[in-house]
Amino acid sequence: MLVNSYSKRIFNMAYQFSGSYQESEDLTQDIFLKVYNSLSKYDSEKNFSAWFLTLAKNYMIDHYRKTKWEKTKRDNFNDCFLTSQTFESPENGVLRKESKKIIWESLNHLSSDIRMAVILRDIQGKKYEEISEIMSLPLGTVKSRVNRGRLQLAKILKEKKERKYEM
Amino acid sequence: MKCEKIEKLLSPYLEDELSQEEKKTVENHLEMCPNCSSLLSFIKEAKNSLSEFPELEVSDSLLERLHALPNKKKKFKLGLDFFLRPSFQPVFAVASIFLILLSFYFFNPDKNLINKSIDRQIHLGYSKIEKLYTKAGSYKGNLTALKDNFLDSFKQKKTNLLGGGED
Repeated sequence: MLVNSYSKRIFNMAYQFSGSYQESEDLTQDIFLKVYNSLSKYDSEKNFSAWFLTLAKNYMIDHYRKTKWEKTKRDNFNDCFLTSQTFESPENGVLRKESKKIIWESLNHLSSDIRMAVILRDIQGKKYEEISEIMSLPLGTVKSRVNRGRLQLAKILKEKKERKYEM
Repeated sequence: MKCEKIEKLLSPYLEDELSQEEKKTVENHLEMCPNCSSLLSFIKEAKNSLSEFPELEVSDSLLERLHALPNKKKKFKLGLDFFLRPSFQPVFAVASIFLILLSFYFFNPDKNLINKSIDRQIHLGYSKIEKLYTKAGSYKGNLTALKDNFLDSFKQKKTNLLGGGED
């Protein structure tokens, strides 16, 4: 069933994109409602998963542009991920935890299109070809967005860490 | 090559997407440039951090809301469908024409003139009806007189005939 197969994927995509638990629950609900209303427009020859994720991506980016989430803070990293059992493995030290916190909180510094490309590639581990289909963009544009996003995040990480050690 | 150009090649370098020549250029630059070398390690760190964000479970309350959506959608659609039925189309067409005509009257700057001319027309119509009514009255009088005349002459003829018969 649609809810069982896609709810977790869409909710996590929304949470990684918005950084707000409450907002992602509302977004997931809105996206499912939109999908139910648009099922008649789905072309059965196309990949359903890609169609669903494209619709979700478009909805999130449109909603983000309307509400300007970048002005609101993302949820506290420790609150959302340290309670998760899958988070910590023994080799993860304090420094890695700190990096993750910085990266999580910096995601809203990326523009919506770049953030979405980075989420699909580096958090969800999708292939560039899949991302290109979901984002309806040429492969080269997707790669360049992912590169720009990583570079921006790395620069923020570098700046924050270096400033901390200087103090 | 300048650092700015090398920066753009660092992410593809990590994913092994550069040509042999570009790869060599990047490696040579990294050996000489501590800034780019440290940026590369931060890109790696950012990439690893992103890949380690865990997937969150969807809350039961959201799942409940998502499962309830198809019914909600159906109810909504029923209400809308009722008004969008083809049988309502002529009604909507007539109503819109009527509203357009009404708007000509209400938004006309010479509304008083229109009122006056309507009054005049009504008045003229009323006086025409009055004239017709008086004409009809006079016809009625004439007809009654004709009828009386006819009856009198008929009665006279009858008595003449009866009188003649007695003789």
